Amino acid sequence: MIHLTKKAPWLFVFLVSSLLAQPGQVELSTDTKTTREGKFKLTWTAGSLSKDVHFRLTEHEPGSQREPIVFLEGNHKGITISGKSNGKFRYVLEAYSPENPGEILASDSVEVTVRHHSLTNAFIAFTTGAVLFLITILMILTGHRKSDPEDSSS
Amino acid sequence: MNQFLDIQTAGIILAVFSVIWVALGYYWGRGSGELDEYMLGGRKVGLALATATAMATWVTSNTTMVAPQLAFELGLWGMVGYSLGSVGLLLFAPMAKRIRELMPNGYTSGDFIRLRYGNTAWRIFLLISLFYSIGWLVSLGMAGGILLEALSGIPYRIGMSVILLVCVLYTMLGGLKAVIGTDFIQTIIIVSGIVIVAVLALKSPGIGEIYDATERKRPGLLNMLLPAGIMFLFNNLFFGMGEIFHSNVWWSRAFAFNKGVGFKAYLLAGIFWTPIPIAAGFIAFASFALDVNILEPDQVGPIVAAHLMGSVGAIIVFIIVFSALASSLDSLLAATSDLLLEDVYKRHIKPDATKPALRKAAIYVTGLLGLLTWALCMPRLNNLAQLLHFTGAFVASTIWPIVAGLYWKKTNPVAAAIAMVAGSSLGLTAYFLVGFYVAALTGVAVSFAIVVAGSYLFPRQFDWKTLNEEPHDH
Repeated sequence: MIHLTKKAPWLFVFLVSSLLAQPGQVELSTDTKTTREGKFKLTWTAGSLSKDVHFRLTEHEPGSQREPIVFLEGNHKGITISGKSNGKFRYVLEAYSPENPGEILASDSVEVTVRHHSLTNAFIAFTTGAVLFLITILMILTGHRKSDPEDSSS
Repeated sequence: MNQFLDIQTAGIILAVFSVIWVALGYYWGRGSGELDEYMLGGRKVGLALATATAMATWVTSNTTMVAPQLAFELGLWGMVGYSLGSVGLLLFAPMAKRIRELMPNGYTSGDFIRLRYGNTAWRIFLLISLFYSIGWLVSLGMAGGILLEALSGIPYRIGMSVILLVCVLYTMLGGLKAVIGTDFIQTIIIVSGIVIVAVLALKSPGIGEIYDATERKRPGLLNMLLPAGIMFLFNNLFFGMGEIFHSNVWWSRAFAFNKGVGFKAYLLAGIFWTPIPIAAGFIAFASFALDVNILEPDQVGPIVAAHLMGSVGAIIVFIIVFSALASSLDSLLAATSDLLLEDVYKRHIKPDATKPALRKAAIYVTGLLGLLTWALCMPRLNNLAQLLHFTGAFVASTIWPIVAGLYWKKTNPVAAAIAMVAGSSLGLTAYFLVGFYVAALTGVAVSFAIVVAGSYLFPRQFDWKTLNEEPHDH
């Protein structure tokens, strides 16, 4: 549920532009609703619009003070977004067709939640790897020093 | 997507290089009438060729595509983690020396597991190795089709079919000699090309602008505390070690290199290889400064490289990519064919096959393997990194059975067999429950625990001379 408050006037602008735009022909989709790597792919279709259609992808974070930003503009079919920090990200795609200047077609919004693994888990994996690696190196180098097959009998 | 090279030019380059590789395969294959000549280059490959083939085989479509992809997805750790793939080559240097000493008449990695641990462990190992080899072959074939399509608009199935056909043809004609010879030329092309691209990226947009753009657009990629990136680091290191330690691609070279050459060749190849994924990964960061939109991360490397160098430069990229693909495909085809020939055909189907009969069968095996790869590549199965990392759990579970088998007399064969099965199973479970970036790590950890605990509790003495098997009859 989105609440308009005085603290977030940009949200009002974002919603009004979405409401003024005509939904229907532009479809925006994501390959995942939740990601633990901060990476996801957004793709879109423009129905019967011409190939020259100009797209604008807007991102905002519900619940944050950050204003919506234009993430991508141009004649693209999608984008892979990576390096996102924890949070919820909402995307809306707008399409401007050269055949109907002034007319804006907008997609429904798509929301993606980024929830990274905890740093504790990450460092457990890192430490396990480091210890195993050292043991493996030790085994190989010690064995290499006793390179005579007859002597390698530890 | 915009193509950087028109389809006619791409077609001409493809045709010219195809003819060159096949002709060289035929030329080098003329003297490979004997089985040892065909499979192992007569066991007397020198240092320059040995270093080049080790390096070229490890510089593959995975380096030109997956290294930038991982930098694009996991940031700095993705780039650094991929370059740790060189550790596998460096550590295989002493192992190659040991292998050559213990098994002067060996043919495959399967031979080692069979003689060291017996039939059960050997068959488990064969399943893992063949699964990995075919997975890698398919990922290479798919990479060929995807790259040619991305760069020039040649339809996926046509590009993939041509690359596979060319590699299968010259490998069939020339065996390991053709593979090593073409690898030498391909190494020169690949290294020169990557140096050119890296220098161009450093000149424009420049390292400062690349850093600023990445910080502005994808700050998370510069975060050294990105959890998935931290988890990925040692996972990739063990994945690379598992690939090299178990795969017959590297064992067959250890048998083929002249005595005393293996150690130096693998050491040099590892040192020369290390900076390549860093350069390739750096290219992914340049995409933000260049405002190149990326839909498919596994294409970020070649797309940015072609973007940097313009339409003329795209020709260079196209040739690099073709060379990188061919240098790995041919090696893998030859080594997997050897494994099928020696461990499946000779040991399971026709134990009384003579050397001339095996030499003849080798050609058919390579052809059939190529056909199987082609059939599996026809549908575009999955994204490349996923396909590649799926095999991580399997290969990492073989690291300890191999290392302990080579250096530790007491290693228990039953523990080695259980370690491979349990390591693969639990690694695969981690792949699905957590992510691809912990599959190999889990596989090696489980395998290590079982091998060490099993061998301490139930030690078995082993006579190293058992590995020095008599050569095949004539």
